[in-house]
Amino acid sequence: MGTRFVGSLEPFKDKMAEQGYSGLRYMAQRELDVNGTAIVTGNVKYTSSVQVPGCLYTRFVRSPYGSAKITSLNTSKAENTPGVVKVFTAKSPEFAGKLYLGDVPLLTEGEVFFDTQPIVMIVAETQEAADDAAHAVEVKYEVMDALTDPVAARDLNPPKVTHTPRLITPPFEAERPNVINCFYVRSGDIEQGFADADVIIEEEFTTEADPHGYLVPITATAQPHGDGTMTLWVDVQNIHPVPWPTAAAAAEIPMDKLNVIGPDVCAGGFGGKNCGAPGPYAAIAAKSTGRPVRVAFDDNRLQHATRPWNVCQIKAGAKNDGKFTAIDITFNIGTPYAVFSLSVMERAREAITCTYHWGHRDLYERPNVMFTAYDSYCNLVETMSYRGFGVLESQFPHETMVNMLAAKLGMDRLEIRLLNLTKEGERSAQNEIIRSQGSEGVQKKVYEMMQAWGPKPSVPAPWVVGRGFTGANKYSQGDMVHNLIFLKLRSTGIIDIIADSMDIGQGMNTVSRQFVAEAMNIPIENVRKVEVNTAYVPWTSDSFSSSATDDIGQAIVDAAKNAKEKLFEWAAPKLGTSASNLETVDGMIQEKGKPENAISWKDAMAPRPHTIVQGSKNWPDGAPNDYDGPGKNDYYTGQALGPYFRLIMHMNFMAQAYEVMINKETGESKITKWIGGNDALPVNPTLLEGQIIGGGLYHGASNAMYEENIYDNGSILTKDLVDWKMPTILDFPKMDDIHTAIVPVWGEYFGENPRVNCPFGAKGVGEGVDVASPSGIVDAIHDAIGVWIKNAPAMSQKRILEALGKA
Amino acid sequence: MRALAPVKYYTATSLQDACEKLNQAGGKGKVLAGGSDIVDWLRKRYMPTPEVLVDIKKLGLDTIETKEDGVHIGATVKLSDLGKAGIPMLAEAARKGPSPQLQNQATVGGNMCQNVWCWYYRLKDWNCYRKGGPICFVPGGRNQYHAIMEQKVCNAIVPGDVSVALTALNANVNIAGMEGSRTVPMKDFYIVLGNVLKPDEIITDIVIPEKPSKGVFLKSRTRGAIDFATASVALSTTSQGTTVALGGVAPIIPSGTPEEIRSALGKATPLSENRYKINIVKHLLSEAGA
Repeated sequence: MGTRFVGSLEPFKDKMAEQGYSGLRYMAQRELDVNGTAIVTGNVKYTSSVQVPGCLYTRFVRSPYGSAKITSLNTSKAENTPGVVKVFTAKSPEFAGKLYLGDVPLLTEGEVFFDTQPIVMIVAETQEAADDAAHAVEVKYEVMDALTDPVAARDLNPPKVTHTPRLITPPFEAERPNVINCFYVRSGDIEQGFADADVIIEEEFTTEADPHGYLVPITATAQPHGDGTMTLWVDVQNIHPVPWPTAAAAAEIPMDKLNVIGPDVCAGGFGGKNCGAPGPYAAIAAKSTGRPVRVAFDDNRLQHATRPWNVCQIKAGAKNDGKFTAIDITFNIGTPYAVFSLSVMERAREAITCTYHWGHRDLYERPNVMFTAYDSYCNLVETMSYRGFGVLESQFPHETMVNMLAAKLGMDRLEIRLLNLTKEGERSAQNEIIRSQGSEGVQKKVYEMMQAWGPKPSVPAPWVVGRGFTGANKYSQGDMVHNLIFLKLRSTGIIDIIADSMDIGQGMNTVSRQFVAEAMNIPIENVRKVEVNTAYVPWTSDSFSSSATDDIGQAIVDAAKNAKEKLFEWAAPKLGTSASNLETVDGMIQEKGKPENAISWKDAMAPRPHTIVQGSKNWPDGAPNDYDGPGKNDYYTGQALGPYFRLIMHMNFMAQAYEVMINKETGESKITKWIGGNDALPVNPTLLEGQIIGGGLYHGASNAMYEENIYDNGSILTKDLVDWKMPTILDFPKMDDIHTAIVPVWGEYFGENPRVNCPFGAKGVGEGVDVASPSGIVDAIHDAIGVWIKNAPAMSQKRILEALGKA
Repeated sequence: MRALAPVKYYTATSLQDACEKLNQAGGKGKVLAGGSDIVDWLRKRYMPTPEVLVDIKKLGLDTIETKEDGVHIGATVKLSDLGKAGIPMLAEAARKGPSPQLQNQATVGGNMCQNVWCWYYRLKDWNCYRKGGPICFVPGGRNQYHAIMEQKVCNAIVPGDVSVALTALNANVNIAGMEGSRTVPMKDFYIVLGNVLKPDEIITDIVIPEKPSKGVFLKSRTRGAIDFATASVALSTTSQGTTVALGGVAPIIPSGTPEEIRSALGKATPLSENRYKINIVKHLLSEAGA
């Protein structure tokens, strides 16, 4: 087993105590994943295993083209296929005119804009009947030239205008006919910064559209109950902000009559299951047929949605001593419809401005940053949130540029980074106050561990070895809602956590139990997390943007305080003391320091069998919700305004080191050693290490290895796991060569007024772990073969041999 | 899960029965052995889709025997059992093929007859030559995994690794059909748009006339497992000389003496995205000692 370094939590104990922490009892403990046994024995209730008697099945007919007119559509044979109950098209009243997430028609007609766009939905008694009927649908197309270059798409005079009329207008640069959103950061004096630079590097990087790769297809089953109510099981990362209202709206059911139920564990999401995309279809079909309907996106799961295709043009300058002077970076992403793409580049903006001072503090009052991002209509596949979306795309060119500057200046890769790191309390190029900046500690530790690898191993020619190093950051977005949880306290001493914040494999079910056990000082076995549904589970922040740990944690800390107040109020007279003189210890309520004067929860609560307390993550009275909404920042300059305005909730910082082997004649490559580090304070080191390794190495590195998405005129050619090459375990190091470093800093939100601590100082890390991977790999490749590959994925044989001039 | 396309399924009771059933299917029948290729084909309903499956697993074609004329490998011998033939380079080819799970299921005959993995061929909306259409989309399209030689009308590559090894071993393929039996040298088994099997024919066994004194199988692929060859080289030296065969480079399996192969490689006609394969083949030839 490789090194599993975990920094000490001793420096943080006093701050933890302020939040009710009871002494490292559960914080930073390696509790087993509460779902672990069920997962490995196949006993977790996944959405895909929901079975409802009398259920109907579905199959879609989807466009195979990126851009085409539908010249004819004949569903008569499908309608007459035995077992078919209903055939829906865009003309069906249930679907006519209905849009999803802004501008996407649920079923399209007339023209298709991306490969896999749904045209027909068949509902049948059996899956076989649905499949047979789908194959009987006759669609004729007039194929058109697809627009697949996001740079060309953003042009003032692009090769084609994808949507006429334009469906969404950007806040500025609307003269670009395909552009639907722009983000800017304008900070400092970019021209002065470049004029002062001794070295300037200008490059272009491409990050390809990469599917999420979750192996369990996303499914939904809707069951109408005959009284206007419906239950919808859907494989999602969260039930509240998107799946629930979108399904209800699509089926024209009041939200209060739709009960959305999430899985025990979302079977792989990585952002791709944020929206519950099959849910609207299942709800519509169930309402229309009056029967349960199951929808599974298992015919296109690799391409249901992906990262956006991104082309980044970047120019950076530095002095000879390594101090950064300026950065000018332009992102260009392409998407057929808005969906989540509108906010992708918002994330990129945050990622660029917070790790390094682009415009060193010794030289300039403000960083010299020009950031521009265009989101344009293209005929590429739909974009969905994806583990660090916008950030992996931005950190790849960003951190590679740092390594390029280091190489040009003859500087060590760690040295140039440490010289330019932002500092605690400084303002970023977006005028945010930076907090919890753990880069120095984690970069130093990972670098030190990389040095401990010793000299590079000898390998037989034509293999060569290279080593790479990188930093990165990933923020968690500001809150969208007040987070609310309920704790049900049973007189038996059991606590049920009633909250959203789904477990998507990152271990939220376990982490939330640890928070409760810690705050209440009760055995963790006495804590449970109940099914997530909209019937009685309140809206807790969701498992996206790496915010769940913080959001549910904050609410738990608040709920625990409220729970103890209530328990102590009831117990105090029974123990003959004041409520302020009580504490919970091992599930008992006792007078502080006097275990002999104690009472069980049952006795304290009697005659109540249970009680409910709530906890929420509230802002101070009078403070507005901190989410980046209108007026929260200057949209043109990207500058935060006012004392409360946080664009970023908290941010975590990471570092990675790679050793790769490259065959200079065949282009074959593999990763042979790896280190991933993060600056989060670990609630559960084992789960955190799992995130670092699973996310940083297996998932993140895969984005940069072989996972090429290949298009021909907008048609996706790599539609299965043979052609879209997800790396296998043989492409990664053995466990002895996989190392992790957790170098905790106290988690705190950006900004001030007020300053806000993360619960027990813990920051969420689910995404940050993967955003450093491409830059680390490309640095290692450069070390091996002397060439910078400016494309992710980077490790196909073709790319390597082309870089070597052998193709 | 996607449902299989509707098929009529028969379990053949004899070789003759199998050939008759295939003949009756009128060109729309396929042999079913391990099923690792054909079942996926039916599930995804790639075009063309067979309508009849004839299961040959009970015909006793799963033995490996050494006879006077060489080592006989039955058509339904599993890839994972090829080590019993006592030819290491052949076992190596099987081991480097599909995943271990599939090696336990897939058969030698099936591996030889599997459909090509050209994405234009497998996606039903591209009507290419191999499907009876007017064009091959590869030269003007995306082609980094496609053929660099012997293209003629199709640019797909022979996907199976075992076939490459069998070609270098100068194997002969015994075939049974309605008109009786025949034998085809492995080097002639593939033709540009498929193989020489007629619709009513099945492979019974493959005969390797002489175990090599030197046998090499080298495969280059992008990921460490479960990946087709970007290029492969098989070399076999027997009392008759040295034969080299190339995989991953053509819709047939080029083979010959080392000199012939190098000469053929020198005349390769790579496409816009796959010139890199030439370097790989040169390197593998050198590593194999060809």
